[in-house]
Amino acid sequence: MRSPRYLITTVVAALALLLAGTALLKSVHERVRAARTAEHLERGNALARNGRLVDAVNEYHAALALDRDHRPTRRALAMTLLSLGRFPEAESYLRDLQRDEPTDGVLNRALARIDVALGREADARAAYQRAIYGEWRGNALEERIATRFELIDYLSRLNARDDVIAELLTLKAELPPEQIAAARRVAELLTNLGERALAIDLLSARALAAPRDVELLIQLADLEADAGRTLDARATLERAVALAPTRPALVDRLAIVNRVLALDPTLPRLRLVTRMQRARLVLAAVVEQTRACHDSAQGEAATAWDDATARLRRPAPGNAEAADQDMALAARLWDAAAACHSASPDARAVAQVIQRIEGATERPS
Amino acid sequence: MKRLTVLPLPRPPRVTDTQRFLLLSICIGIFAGLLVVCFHFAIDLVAWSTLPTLAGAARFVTVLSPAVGGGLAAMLVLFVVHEAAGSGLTHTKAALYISDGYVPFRTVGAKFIACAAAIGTGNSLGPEDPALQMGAGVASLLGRAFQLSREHLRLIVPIGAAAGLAAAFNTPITAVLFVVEEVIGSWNASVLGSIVLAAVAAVVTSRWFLGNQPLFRVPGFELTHPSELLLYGIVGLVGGLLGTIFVKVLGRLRGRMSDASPFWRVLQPFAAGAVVGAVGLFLPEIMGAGYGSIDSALHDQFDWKMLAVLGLAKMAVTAVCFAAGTPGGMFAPTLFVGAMIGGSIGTLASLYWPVPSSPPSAYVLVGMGTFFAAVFRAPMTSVFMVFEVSASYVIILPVMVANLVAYLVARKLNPVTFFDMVAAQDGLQLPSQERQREERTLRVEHAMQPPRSGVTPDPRLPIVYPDEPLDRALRLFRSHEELVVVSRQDATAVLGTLTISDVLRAYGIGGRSPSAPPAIAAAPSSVGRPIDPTAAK
Repeated sequence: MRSPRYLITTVVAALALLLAGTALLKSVHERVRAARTAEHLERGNALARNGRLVDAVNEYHAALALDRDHRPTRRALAMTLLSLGRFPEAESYLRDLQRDEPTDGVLNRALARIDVALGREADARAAYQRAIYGEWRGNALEERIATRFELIDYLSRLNARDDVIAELLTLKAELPPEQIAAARRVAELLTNLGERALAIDLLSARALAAPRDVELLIQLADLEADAGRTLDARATLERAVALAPTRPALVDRLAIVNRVLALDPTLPRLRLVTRMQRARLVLAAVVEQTRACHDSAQGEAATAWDDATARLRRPAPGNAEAADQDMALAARLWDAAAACHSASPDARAVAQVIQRIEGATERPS
Repeated sequence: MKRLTVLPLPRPPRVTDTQRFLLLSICIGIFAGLLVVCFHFAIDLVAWSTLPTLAGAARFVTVLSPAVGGGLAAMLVLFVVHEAAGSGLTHTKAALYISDGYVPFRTVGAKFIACAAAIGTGNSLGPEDPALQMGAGVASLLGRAFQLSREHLRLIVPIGAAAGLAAAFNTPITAVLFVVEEVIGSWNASVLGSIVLAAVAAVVTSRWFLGNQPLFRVPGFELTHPSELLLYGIVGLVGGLLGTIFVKVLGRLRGRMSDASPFWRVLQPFAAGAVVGAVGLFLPEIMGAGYGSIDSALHDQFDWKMLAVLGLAKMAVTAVCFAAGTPGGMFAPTLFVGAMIGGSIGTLASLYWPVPSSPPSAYVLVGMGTFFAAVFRAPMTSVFMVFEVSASYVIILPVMVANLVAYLVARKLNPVTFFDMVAAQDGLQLPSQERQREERTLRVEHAMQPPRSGVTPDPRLPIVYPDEPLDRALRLFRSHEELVVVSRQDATAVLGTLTISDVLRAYGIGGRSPSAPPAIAAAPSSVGRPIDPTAAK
């Protein structure tokens, strides 16, 4: 019988040998696997870049058959499946990945897109929020902003106006000063939702931070003009013209604003006589703008045109009521002859003035 | 100069036989774990160097690889190491019940090489059953090296089997349960501790090299509606039916193929491999063990038709490979088939079931266990296996329902289990663990006679209780001719007496016992049944 010491030594030696063999085999295994996986992933990425998404998916699957835990491959596969519209499959991989990286922005945004595609509204909102406040590699700020805009687009499609405004306000508050393009987009969306004052507020602040951004100044001036803040609009446009004096769009805008300022009878602190004169001028301008359509005008447009020309032939009575009547008639004719409106600076100026007149009429005195 | 006093060293603590045996179990676990890790790496390396990937390579390689790999592997076990042919579990049981725990070590080497070649080249078989046999082989070698007694040498085989299976599946509980259900056939405390230790040691070793991840990454799952249990029942029903068909077809096919002439028997594995390769041209997912494809199914990669086709195709090619004698196991293919069939039903349910149902991946997971339960008839193992490979506790309720249905359907439709069928075809008379589990133990109350009126039993006679097994009573008859049956509540209350002839009558020897219920009388007698080799003496 062999001694216990001999037996134990033999067993330990065999164990050491087997351990060494296993370690060696493992290193070979790892090396081959890593090389092959990387090869498949690379091929898949190249195919995906060339738009051959189905082939790319096959390559990714081949890579995962070698190393099912290879995160870059799983991620690439999930994103490609998402691009292919294979949502359940993509979701399944994404959920796996997200389990390990719950705050990953890219994963959460991809999951949000799947939720959107599959009509899971609450999940989509939550996933977008996780993505916005999640971790991003590379340019995190840009990604977060882009994701927020994606959420806003989604909420707009859902007609969730209040939620859209809430997101826009959050974005407005969080946007750093240098994000001019994003700020302009926020302002545009706010304007579309009727929140012009908020948009002006946002762009005014940005204009201070980026005083040489002509596009920003133009957008701000347009908003100010639309909001009836014509003097502010003129000041803004003058700043823009100083920066780019040869831009025709700027010159046109400035001309319109100046024309509005010259015509607008609703401007505050005007003397009665000036107001009366301006009301008559507006009526005359409207008649002039709609003259081209007069021959073909029918119904209300024809009646209003006849009334307006008859009124212009009479001397203007010197009271506030007559001014109001002129303005009301001008607005009536302008609205009735909507088909005649041209895009000339004069016509646009008249349109703005009429808008003000109508706004002033609707406002309680 | 002051002289140093040399104190005597404390005596090392005395290691008892039990402690030594437990230490050896750990050692077996580590050895088996390392071996299985190497086996796993070998299969992968063979697969990577022979099998074309989905995205490219020549098509003829797909057909040739499994044919050549399976054929050469089969030749190794047919002509060089015959003990490595066929089912590893059957050989392990044979070692336990017939050859006193002796598993030649060359079996381990042959199984390693043959199965790595066969599975790695894409033959539709799995690595778990070979791992089980390799574990048993390592244990037997160590047991012989340490010159264990015959009784301990027998005991050590299931310990190694559990270690091998645990390392291959990365599932210690499943391995312990499977060995208890299928190898030992009973919960035997004397060996259970060692089995658990070895399984844990093997899993720790394999995880050291392969990582802690469960076998499958399972997407989130929850039971969305109670009516879904009905769907899981349907999964179980289909799994049970298909499992039964599979075992019956496989049995017939294997019987016919093993009757072929030696020349054709050599050719069969080549042909089987070519069949696998030909199917693999169109359905590459069915090649090899198929774990990658199960993972894909868990991630909704296939539609219901594809899932069904994959499940049925895998059934066919697995039956062909196994019947042809290609070395490899059946665990992985059964999981594959079950997963695909379950997934197919789950995908259909997600389309047509009137109430919201769980994602198809849940059905993939549940289905996995049903086919396994129907083929191997190891209900506990099948439940815990799904639970362990998925690391998801939520799944347990549907799995229990589906597996139970599958098990009952398979048992009703086919009296012979897969392993019993294979053993019988291989000419081995091994105990059927399912039958053993279902056998009712005869107890004292089934044989005792009421006390004779007016006669007080001799107080010196040994007493037995009515719920004790008759086997225990039999041992007492060595020194006494009569036993007194007393109540456990009151030892003075005599319930009856028991003589050797009463016991023999209860066993059906020398006339049917009037007190034994018909079911017991009709059940196979435990006399003449193979002894439990793991029973403590």
